[in-house]
Amino acid sequence: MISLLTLQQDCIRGFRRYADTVAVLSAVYYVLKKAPRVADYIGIETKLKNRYGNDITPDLVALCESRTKGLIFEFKWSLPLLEKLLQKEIREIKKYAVPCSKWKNSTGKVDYHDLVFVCHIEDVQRTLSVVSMVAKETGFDFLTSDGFAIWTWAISAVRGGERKEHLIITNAYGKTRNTAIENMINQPTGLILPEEVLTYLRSSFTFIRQKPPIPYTIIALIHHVFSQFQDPTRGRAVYEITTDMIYDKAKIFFAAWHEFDVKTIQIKRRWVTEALEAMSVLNIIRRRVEKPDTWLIPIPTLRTREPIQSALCKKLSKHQLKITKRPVRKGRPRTKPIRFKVSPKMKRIDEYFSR
Amino acid sequence: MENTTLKFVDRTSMSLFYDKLYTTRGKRPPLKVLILVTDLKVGDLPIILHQREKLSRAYYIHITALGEELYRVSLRRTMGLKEVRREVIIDAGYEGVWIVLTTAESYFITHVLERFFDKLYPMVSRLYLNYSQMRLLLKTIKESYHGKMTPTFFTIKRERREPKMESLFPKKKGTQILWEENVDDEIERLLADGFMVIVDRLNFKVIGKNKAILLQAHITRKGLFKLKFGSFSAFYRNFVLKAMEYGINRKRFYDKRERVIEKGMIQLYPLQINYPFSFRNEHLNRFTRKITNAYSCSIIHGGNPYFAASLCDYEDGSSFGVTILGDSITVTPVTRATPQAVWRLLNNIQEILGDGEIADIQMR
Repeated sequence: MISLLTLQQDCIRGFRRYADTVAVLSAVYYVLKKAPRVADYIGIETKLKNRYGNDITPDLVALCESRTKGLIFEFKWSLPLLEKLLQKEIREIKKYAVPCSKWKNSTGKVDYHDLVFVCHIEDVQRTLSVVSMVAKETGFDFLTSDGFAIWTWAISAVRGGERKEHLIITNAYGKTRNTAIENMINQPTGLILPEEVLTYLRSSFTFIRQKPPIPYTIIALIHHVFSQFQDPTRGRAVYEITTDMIYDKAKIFFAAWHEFDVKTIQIKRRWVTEALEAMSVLNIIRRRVEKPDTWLIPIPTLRTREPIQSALCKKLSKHQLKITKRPVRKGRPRTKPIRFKVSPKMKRIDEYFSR
Repeated sequence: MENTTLKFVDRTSMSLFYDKLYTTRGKRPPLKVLILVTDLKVGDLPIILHQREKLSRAYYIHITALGEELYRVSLRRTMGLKEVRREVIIDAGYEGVWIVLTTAESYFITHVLERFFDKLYPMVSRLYLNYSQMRLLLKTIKESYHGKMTPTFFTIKRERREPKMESLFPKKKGTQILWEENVDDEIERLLADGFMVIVDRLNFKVIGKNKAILLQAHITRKGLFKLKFGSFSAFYRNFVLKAMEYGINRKRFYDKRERVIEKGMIQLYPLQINYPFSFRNEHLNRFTRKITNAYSCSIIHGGNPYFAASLCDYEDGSSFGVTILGDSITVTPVTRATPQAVWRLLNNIQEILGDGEIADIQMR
């Protein structure tokens, strides 16, 4: 059985990795935005239609060379440890590799598009071995051809007092057909993001399209949304707040990636609901029974003397263990003796057979 | 001495009394002046106290208006079976600031007066000063007095930056009172010796051209000043009001730093604290341990030695992004970010990691 500590560590790791993935997505977005010669258009969560007629929403889409060539980025903050599940995940990216329409240009089509899969440095080795396996299957030859690349990222350590840059994105596999991007990523140092840019990005964007781990959403709500309801004159108090009120505040704070584009609002309502329900299960907030979608929230929420993600992950892990743990009785298994009570009015069973 | 406030009927009588008291040599408690930054009215204090159940159980307040925005305030705190009650004067004649004056003993100041106003945060905020700000303020005061300023002693908190060396060298940390005149030299020496230095208070005297002592006073990093000797009117005009002006300017500097969205673009107004040394993992661990007492803290990177975290002020609800890398700390105000919350956070950081230089940074 998984220990409490392992669950807790996994939970914290998930939280951190999601935060970093957001930073990387926004970093790539920033790099493309600052280099108009590379991309003419950059879109977050732009909807495309693939050859099979399915709507697809990649994390980041760019148009290059007078909007005639496309570029799709898919970011993964976490990839499954099980090989089978990882294979499934890799097979799923095929939907982004086939020709797509509804590109943001006059025709809605491009000559071709490239696909960049971005994952954490800890996942890259597993991903590469699975990619080489899946590539042998029919219909997955795109994984070995030009136009497919895997990028990875890491936070650099400070060496010899140098401290100007720290986020490094490097190419781990394959290449795109965009020379400008290839020149940027294939520098000996990789693609380096200045510290102040990363500070800006971290404070500007909080979510990517992929669903965040629950503690991540809870912390975002506690730090940036619940605190907006706080009335300093009341001190610590319990506030009655509805899901709509929370979502409305969250929409403003975690605003759209693009102006006037409601579809790209960073936070999804279902994530908010899920986080609120998780908090209610953990007894951090209470549900108002008589009023639907209304919560009694103590603000400041979850006062703790340790980092909030540790406290939250401890609570979540304890709860998870509690629900997965089966009650095991000590000693040898006992069976209850069955006692038949036959009343005088009951007929004997052999009477039925004799009929 | 605590009943002296009863003699005051207005500003003039107060000024005359303190002038006489502090220009004659003799044994008496120093006059303590606490500067608070607030937009409240003194008359609102009983209402606020009434709203906060926990606070009203421990404190009792009675206010008498003396006219011209001068108030006599009787403050009582119940601590178990013990009750401490003293009277203070609050001068609310300047917008956005209260000046609290008292001759009460230090016990009352620390355990009743300061604690009471700390509990009223964020409605009432302290005037926080780091060493470079204290120095700047003292320079202004010196110019107003047209005299020579000599620091008589200063109190610092010091901590060795490299705890690994403790096995080789004896451990030296904690509060230290130094009877030195050259504060700068002493601090530089301590920094060179591998200490983090936090200047807590400075005692100084201003000597006039005829070598007569014009002022003997004391300044602390939390906006508490003490008059030990000298003309009260001159002290008030040249020291207290100058400090108040400085406080108002600092408040303005920390104001309007909240994250805003203008024309679809996110605008941030971060600040940076720069240090003469680079941070190590030990500092970051210490920072994590200490900052979680007053702030809800979610740490994205806790070492490397790159530190990135999101902080939320429990009392105020303001949230911040904090990154530490190399020799600087970047504080990015995010939600709400009231000036008092920004100010308090910068002070808390410096109390943990030592005094630095605060600078405004421009985002790309």
